[in-house]
Amino acid sequence: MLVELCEEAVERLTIMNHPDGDCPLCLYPLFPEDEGSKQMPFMKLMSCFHCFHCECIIRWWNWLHAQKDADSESGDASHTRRGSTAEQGNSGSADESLGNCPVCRKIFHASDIEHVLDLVGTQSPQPDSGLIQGEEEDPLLQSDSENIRRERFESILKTQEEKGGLVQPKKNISVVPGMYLPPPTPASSSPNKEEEAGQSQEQGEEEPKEAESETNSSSSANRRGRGRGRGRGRGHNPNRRKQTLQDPRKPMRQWVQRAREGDN
Amino acid sequence: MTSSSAPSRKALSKIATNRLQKELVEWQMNPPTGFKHKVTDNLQRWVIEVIGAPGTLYANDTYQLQVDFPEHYPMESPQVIFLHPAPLHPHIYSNGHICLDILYDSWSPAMTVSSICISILSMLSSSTEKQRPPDNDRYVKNCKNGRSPKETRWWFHDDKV
Ligand SMILES: [Zn+2]
Ligand SMILES: [Zn+2]
Repeated sequence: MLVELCEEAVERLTIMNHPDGDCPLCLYPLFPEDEGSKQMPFMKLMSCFHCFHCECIIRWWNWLHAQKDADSESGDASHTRRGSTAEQGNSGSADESLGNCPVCRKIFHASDIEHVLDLVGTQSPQPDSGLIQGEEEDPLLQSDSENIRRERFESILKTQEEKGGLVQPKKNISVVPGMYLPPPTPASSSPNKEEEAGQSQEQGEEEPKEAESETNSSSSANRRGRGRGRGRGRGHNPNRRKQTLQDPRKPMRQWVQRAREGDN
Repeated sequence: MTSSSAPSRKALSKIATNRLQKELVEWQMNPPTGFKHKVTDNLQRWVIEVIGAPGTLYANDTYQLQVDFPEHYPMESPQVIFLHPAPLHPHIYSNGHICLDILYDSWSPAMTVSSICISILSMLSSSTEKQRPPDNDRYVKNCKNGRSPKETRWWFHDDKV
């Protein structure tokens, strides 16, 4: 029963996350159907599988952190209230390596979009070269302070990674709904080869889509395996319950309700 | 987020304009049930008619929402208020300000005018009494000079409605 539910959930989520859809931020198609439209690179957040144009999610990321910086620098009374209500989901204000998905609010890590930041960095070395395309007038992404901030951030991230300081919750114990979680096989066990092959085939069901979006956005394919199938919905900050319920576009709601039915 | 996002008359950015044009087209093709967009040539301010849902306290009542978009929409939330007369509701002040978290701290750029409208209608529909918030008079007095609700320090302590 649970497996069926999970399979259905995977199916629904897959449909919802289909890259044929629109980018939730600009509302334009991720994959333009008419040849005339320019294809913009897009990416998928591995914590929730929501897809965005790279430049759209980065704009959100930068906005989020610019707000955070402004908040912490000003210490303005009009901002302090947010600590008590909404801010937890965004940050833990000192933590620059977290963001939240604009669609489901699930927390993602800097490492989830880092490859896209790289992409942007290599494509527009000069501040005025127009980020990816047509965004010349976006001061937020182009400003010196933002570039400095990004560099600083990346170096911090690197340090954190080197020291093993990045907390990546649940990755190691994640179960992809409807899929079999392979037991950690000892490296030496050659008799298990066939079985392993079978498993990876099974897992492969969901691979192509990801590979597709990954290659579209970047080359850092090694991130794919790690993040895949981190539990959906887990990790939602309970403090945000009310807020998330009020987002009519939010897929979690369906999932929760179905799960409840199934538990009866 | 708030102090800089008062409904200044700053023009919409190109990104905001593109996004709003897209929203408008989608609204016209598929408007949320119970809402009518009053057509104007002003992309930055939408006036939307709300009809109370059948079977609720507000059935057949008609209200008007005014939605003003900031320069950096959708990164910043729009300012959403009810035009006079605002519905009697425990979370709606007589000056039209709405205590609804998604309009302020819980805004996400993936939300749209359409999804805001649905949230507001659902807030109306779940109300069990046509009443002003208990602190209405105090709040409205403090809001003189046309202050934006986005400058208010909102506390969303009520989970029920
Ligand atoms: Zn986009
Ligand atoms: Zn998401």
